[in-house]
Amino acid sequence: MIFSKENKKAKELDKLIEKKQLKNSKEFAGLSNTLDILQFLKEQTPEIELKPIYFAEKQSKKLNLVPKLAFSMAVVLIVFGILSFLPVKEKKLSGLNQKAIAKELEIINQNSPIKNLEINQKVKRAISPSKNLEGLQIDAIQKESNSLKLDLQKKQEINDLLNNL
Amino acid sequence: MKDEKEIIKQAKQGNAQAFSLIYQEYGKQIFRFIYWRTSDKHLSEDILQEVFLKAWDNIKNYKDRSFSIRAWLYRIARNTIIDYYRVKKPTVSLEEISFDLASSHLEAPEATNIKIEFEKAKKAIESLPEIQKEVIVLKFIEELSNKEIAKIIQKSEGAVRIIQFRALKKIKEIFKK
Repeated sequence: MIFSKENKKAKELDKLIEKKQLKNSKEFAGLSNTLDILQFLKEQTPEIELKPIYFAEKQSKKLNLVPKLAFSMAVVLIVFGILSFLPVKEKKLSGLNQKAIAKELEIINQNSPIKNLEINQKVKRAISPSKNLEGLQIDAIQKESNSLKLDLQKKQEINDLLNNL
Repeated sequence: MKDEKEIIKQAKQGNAQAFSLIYQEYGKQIFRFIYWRTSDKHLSEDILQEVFLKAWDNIKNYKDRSFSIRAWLYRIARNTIIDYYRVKKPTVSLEEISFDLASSHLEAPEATNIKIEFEKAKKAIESLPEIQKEVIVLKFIEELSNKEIAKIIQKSEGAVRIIQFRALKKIKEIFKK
């Protein structure tokens, strides 16, 4: 409230100053002479001769543009050069990405010829028993028959001996 | 100054001669403003040089759309004075500004009355707070508009009007005493 009153008064005073009608103001009529004196003070400020200042000539922007561009291009090339020599670190994938990639790989593997080959080999193995196992079984049978043959021979030899008696 | 816009444009492109014209045009005004803050002629001359060298370094950043070159220079001067007094406390005295009776070409009684008023005005300005003093000097001695003053002291035009009102009220009280 107080501030708005002051603001209003300040506006009114400013208008009177602009129109050079301060004498019409009830509150500030007395200041009219003072403001004239302020004008007078201006004239009393010591006069100076401006000392020459050397303002160094600057190159225009257009001239500066070419070396600036060349410099920035050189910097970019150097940075790329350095980066190409640096080993590239593998980025850690976020959990979601890892899962997505794992699923993707699963689908690829299921349809891949390599996977099919593996399946084929497994099926073949399942259908035909291993040769080694077969060999072992044959050996065992042969040994058995051999021992049986030996037994028969021994029986016959015993029979022959008994007949000769 | 002939075709100020063109001169500013050339100065912005780095033309030192164009900037010298700006210095010639506004140098004395800026000196007066500095002098009213420092009341030391030699110091004011040094600060003036600093102000214009700063302006020359930063002229490319000046945008004429926002405010006049004059107000821009006043703002640089104001900031330079603030920087100067940040280290050294101000001891402002307007003793050097004196009323010269002989050169006034006035009749003796009238001249005496003016001298008394003159001394009172000087004291009144000296006693004002820095911001009020600044506004009074810019408005009534430098004759700048409220808009320009607002740009220089970085406040709104409304704030400038209130500062001016308070300052004049204070001056009035001093005159009553």
